[in-house]
Amino acid sequence: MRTLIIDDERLARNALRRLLRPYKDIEIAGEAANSEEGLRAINTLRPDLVLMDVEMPGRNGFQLLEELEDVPLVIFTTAFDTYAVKAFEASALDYLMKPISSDRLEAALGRARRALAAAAAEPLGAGVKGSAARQIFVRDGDRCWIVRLADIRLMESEGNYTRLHFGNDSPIVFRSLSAIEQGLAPDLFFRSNRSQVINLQCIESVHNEIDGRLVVKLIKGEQIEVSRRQSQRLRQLLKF
Amino acid sequence: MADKVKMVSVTAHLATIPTRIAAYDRFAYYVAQLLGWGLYSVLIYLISPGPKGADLAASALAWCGCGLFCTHVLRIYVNRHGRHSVAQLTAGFGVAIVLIPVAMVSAQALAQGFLSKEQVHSSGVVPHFFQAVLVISLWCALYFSAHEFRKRRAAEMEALRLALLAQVAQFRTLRSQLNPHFLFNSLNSLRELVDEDQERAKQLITRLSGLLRYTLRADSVETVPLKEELAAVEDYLALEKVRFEERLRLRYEVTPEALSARVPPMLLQTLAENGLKHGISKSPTGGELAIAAAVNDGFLRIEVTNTGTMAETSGSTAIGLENARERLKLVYGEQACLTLRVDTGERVRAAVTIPLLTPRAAGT
Repeated sequence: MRTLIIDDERLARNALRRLLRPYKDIEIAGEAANSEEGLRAINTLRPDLVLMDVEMPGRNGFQLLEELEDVPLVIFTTAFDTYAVKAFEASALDYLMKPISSDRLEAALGRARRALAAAAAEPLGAGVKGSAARQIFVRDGDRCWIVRLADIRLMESEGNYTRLHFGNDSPIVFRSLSAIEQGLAPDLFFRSNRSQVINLQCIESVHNEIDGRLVVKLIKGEQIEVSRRQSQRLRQLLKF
Repeated sequence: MADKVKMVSVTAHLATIPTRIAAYDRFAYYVAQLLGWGLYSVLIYLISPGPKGADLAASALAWCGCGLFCTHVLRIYVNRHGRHSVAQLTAGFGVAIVLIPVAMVSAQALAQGFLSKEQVHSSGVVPHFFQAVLVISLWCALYFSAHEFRKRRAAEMEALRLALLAQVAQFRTLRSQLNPHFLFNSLNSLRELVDEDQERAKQLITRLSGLLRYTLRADSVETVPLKEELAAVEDYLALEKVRFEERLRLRYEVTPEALSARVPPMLLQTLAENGLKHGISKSPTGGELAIAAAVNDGFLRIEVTNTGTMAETSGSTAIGLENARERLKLVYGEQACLTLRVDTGERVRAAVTIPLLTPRAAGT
């Protein structure tokens, strides 16, 4: 696993290096001392795993992730941040408390290995760029998620914000739907009307309305009306 | 020394207030009761027509003694059933106003009957009865207005006591404890430093224990000499220097007179921590933290300056500094102040002015 360490303290980075030394499958791809460097390092080094402090000068760890187009596997480290810990616990993101115990680290690395193996085994493998394997970081209040784009079935515009629907969650992100849509793979996501974007792989059924428009039912039961113009495009796409 | 008043004893003192007030009230009741009935019996003896002597004295004593006893029983009864409604109490008094005079007249008659072989004058009974009714009504009126007054005062005292207790509790939480975030980060760095530089690691562990001891002690004293506070802040900053390394540059300018001035514990520490948190840790290249203290015109002035801008300083700073401000107010009232302003050249300066004598110390 190519691993990147981001922490503003040199001694803390050293501590992680020393703790990671026994693991032969871990290759330290680089280090970053602040979020600026961290952002650059993630984009250039494309690590499999990032070990990152939550509190840093400039952007904190969450803000850094929110800026990423594609979020790698992340294990957060924190000394004592009740807010962050609450977010982690609510979201099942992995985190380590400083000083880091080697047992906890081992458990976290095990989870990371399994997650990587699972991603590689899927048809939409990690090698496919700019598409479904991409993960984004989502934060809403106390909770945060690292979610694969492929797992988002519906995006709904709510003013300048967008509500994402995946699994049983539907958090709001502070970006407009059109801003989010720009980075999406056109073979996977489809603008069904002015305020909704659907994941084509999450369609359960499609119905014809009398006036020629289509109504799409998603796997979790959401009914999406497709605009007249987009109905024609959807017919072509689905060969319906 | 007044300025070493322990917060613990303040709470203990506050806790005993209700029982002490009750004791004063009980004492006041007994004095009033004995004095009142005593003076009344003397008055009866002096203004009664007819011959003065043992008979009259015994009659007056029986009269007043019975009144004293019966009203005391009435008080016990009312106290025991203090939660009765007004109607029930009024009914009780009505009964008391009739029964007690009957008892008093009987007691007097009995005393007179025992002491003199003469026939009791039945003609004196009715006026005596009405006199007793008047006296007992007066007693009830006095007792209940005193009782009402006392109840209101007790409620007021209780409100004050609770407010003070809340303030003491607030004062305790306001004493900024050592930031756990700092503590665990330091432990993390120290653990790594053990491999890198054993000697330095040992020194820093000593500093950390010194700092911990100081913060634990800070709970029990109201003020400490600046010298002690400064030593703790130096320990704190030495530990932060391990984390921030060359990103943290320190400067101290403290005059010798200032060292002996007294300050609330953890005050300077709060300012230093804030400066560090908002001025230095936010910047990838770090910055300078300067601590200055001097005595001027009976006031101690402490300044903590950090590089950075106010924009970075707003928000969560508010809490730390607001707490420090509240603490200053609790100790010094309006005599101390804490200000935060932007200096020229991208610097933020927190300044505290405190009187050299605490108001309480000045008073003793």
